[in-house]
This record gives sequence, C-alpha cells and structure tokens, in this order.
Amino acid sequence: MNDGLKLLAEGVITHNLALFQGLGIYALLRYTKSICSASKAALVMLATTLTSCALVWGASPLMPANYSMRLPFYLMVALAAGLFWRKLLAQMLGKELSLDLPAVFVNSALVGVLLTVPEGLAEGPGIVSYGLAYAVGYGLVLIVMAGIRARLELVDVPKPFRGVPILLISAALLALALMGYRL
Amino acid sequence: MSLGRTFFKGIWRENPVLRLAVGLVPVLGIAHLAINGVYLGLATAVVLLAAVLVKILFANLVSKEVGIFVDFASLTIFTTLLYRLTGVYQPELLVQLGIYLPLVAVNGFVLQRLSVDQPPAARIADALGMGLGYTAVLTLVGMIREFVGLGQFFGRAVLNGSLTPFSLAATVPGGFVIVGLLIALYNALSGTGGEINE
Repeated sequence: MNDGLKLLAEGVITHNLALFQGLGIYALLRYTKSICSASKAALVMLATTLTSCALVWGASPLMPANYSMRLPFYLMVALAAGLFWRKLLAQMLGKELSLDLPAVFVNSALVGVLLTVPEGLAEGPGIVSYGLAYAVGYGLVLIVMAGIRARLELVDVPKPFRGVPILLISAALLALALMGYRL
Repeated sequence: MSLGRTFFKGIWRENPVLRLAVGLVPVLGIAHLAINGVYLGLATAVVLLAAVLVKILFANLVSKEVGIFVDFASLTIFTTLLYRLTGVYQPELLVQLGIYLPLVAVNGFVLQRLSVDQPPAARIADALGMGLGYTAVLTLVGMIREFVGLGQFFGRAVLNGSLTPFSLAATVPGGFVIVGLLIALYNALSGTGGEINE
C-alpha cells in the first residue's frame, strides 16, 4: 500500500513527466486549450500507457537483454498501443486532437515512461502501476495547465509573451510550486 | 518556394523551436550543457535527414497509411544505430544524455517534418535547414543554461567565483523560463506571437 502511494506521489509530484523531465511538451502546448481537450489528451495518454505497460509485461520474455536494443522493442509496443487506441478513440475524440499526427499517440511521454521503468519492474505487474502513476501525473498537469490557460485568457498579456512563452513560464511556476516536495 | 528559401526558413522564419514550438523535449530536458545541445541537435538533424531520404525512396511504393510504419521503422533503425555508435565512441556522453538520445525517434519536430507533404528536393532542403536551425537553438539554449546555471562555457569555468551561478537554470523548470523568454524575444524581434502552431 505504502509502495503504491509512494509510486503515485513520484509520478504525480516529484518525478512528474512534463514538469520535471520535460517530456510530452507537444501535448502540453497544443491540447490544453480547454479542460475538455486536456481531459481527452490525458485519457489518450492513460490508455496508451497502460496498454503499452501491459504489453511490455506480457512480452517480457521477448525483451532484449541489451539496453540499446530495447528502444526498437519499446517503440514497437508504443506504436501498437497507439494505433490500437487511435482506431477506438477516433470517434470519441472528434476533431479536437489532430488524429493524423502520430505524435498524439506515440509521444515522448509514453516512450519516456517505458525507457525509465526501473530494472526488474518491467518483468512483473509492477510496470502497470508504474505506468498508471506517471500517466495520471501527466494527465493532471494537462488539466491544471488548461485551467491556468483559461485564466490567462482574461489577462492582458504583452504581445510577445502571448501563446507559447506565457504557457512555458506558467508551467515553470507550477513546477516550482511542486519542487518543494522534492527537497 | 525556391530551394534556398526552403532551406533558410528553418533557420529563422520558421525555426522549429522559436516559431513552431516543436521538439522542445530535449531543449527543456537535457540542454543544460552546451555540448548536450550540440550533440543532440546534430543527432536529431542526422536522423531527420536519413528518415526523409528513406521516405523519398519509398514515396511511390507505399500508401499514406503504411507510410507511418515506414517512418517509425526508419526512425527506430537510425536512432538505434546512432545510440550504439555513441556508446562505442562517446560512452560518457551516452550516459550524460540518458533517455533523451533514444527519444530522438519520437521527437515531435522530426515527426512533424516527416508529415509535411513536399517535393523530394524541397524535403531535403527543408530537413537540412530545419535541422540546422534546431541545432543552433539547442546549442544557444545549452550555452545560456550552462552559463547561468553552472557558470561554465562548454565545460570551462568562466565566472571563477565572481558571481554565484543560479542553479535553477540548469533544471527543467529553469529551462521552461529560459526557453519562454527566448521565444518571447523572438516574437518581439519578428513581430509574431499569440498563436500556437498545430
């Protein structure tokens, strides 16, 4: 129980994929226009991560022992999970997410989760809990950023800072707020 | 658009980081040292160019749906090759870059450039220009973060105790601030800003 909570705290707060590892920034900038689109992007991340982790667990006897050869393995798993969910979620997600872009389904956050799974965890069910914790943390950041972005719409931001710059600076402030838990 | 213009647009007018805001993962995650920026930028540019050449070769042989698999296969092969070569010739750098070198295969910048429909010659010019522009910005961000965060310039101490480094700049949250400020400066100089390119 305590291990599970510790893992969840790591994924959501202290080792958050977007805020402390800089992963999945493509979605952070593009799918946080509204809480609805952020929730959908979070759902895609959760679905693809859990599927990928379950596939890695299931196919662990086939996993190459050499770390450099695990990249093709993880990419194949991520691509399979991404394409599976792309078909299933296409209708539900509508036009808010650009479904033609492979970056929506196979992104650095998803592959980053697989590449950072601690040695020994990948061969057991622990990888699914690991993926769940990190995907939940990433999804929460997307939703919080969508909320911050909605507030920013009401503020007169200087023109050069509009768009990406103010979003990145807001993400930095959010990360700084959570950074206290890392100390 | 002429090939020259296609090449140069990636360096300033449509710079991948400053204008298109793609491929920010290594910029924020690992470019806290200038050498990391140079290496990762060049690695990304080489992988992009190689994947573009494969795409051109297979353009008439595969449909658009199958093209995604060809793109991912070529990105995976070239990234793995680069990873192994780095392990042989620069093992310390490989450890320093961590997961960010393998992640070149799913870099949003590379995936986005591969999805743009262009004639073959324009594709190559675009990949070269965009790769160069990406490497330049990654290096610039690395230099700024290394100087501000560690008081160094390409690994050499330059402040010599005259000023205390601001270590936050070398972390990911510090990277968010520095890249945000750089993009704001770019917007002010080019008169753009406000929109986020899909």
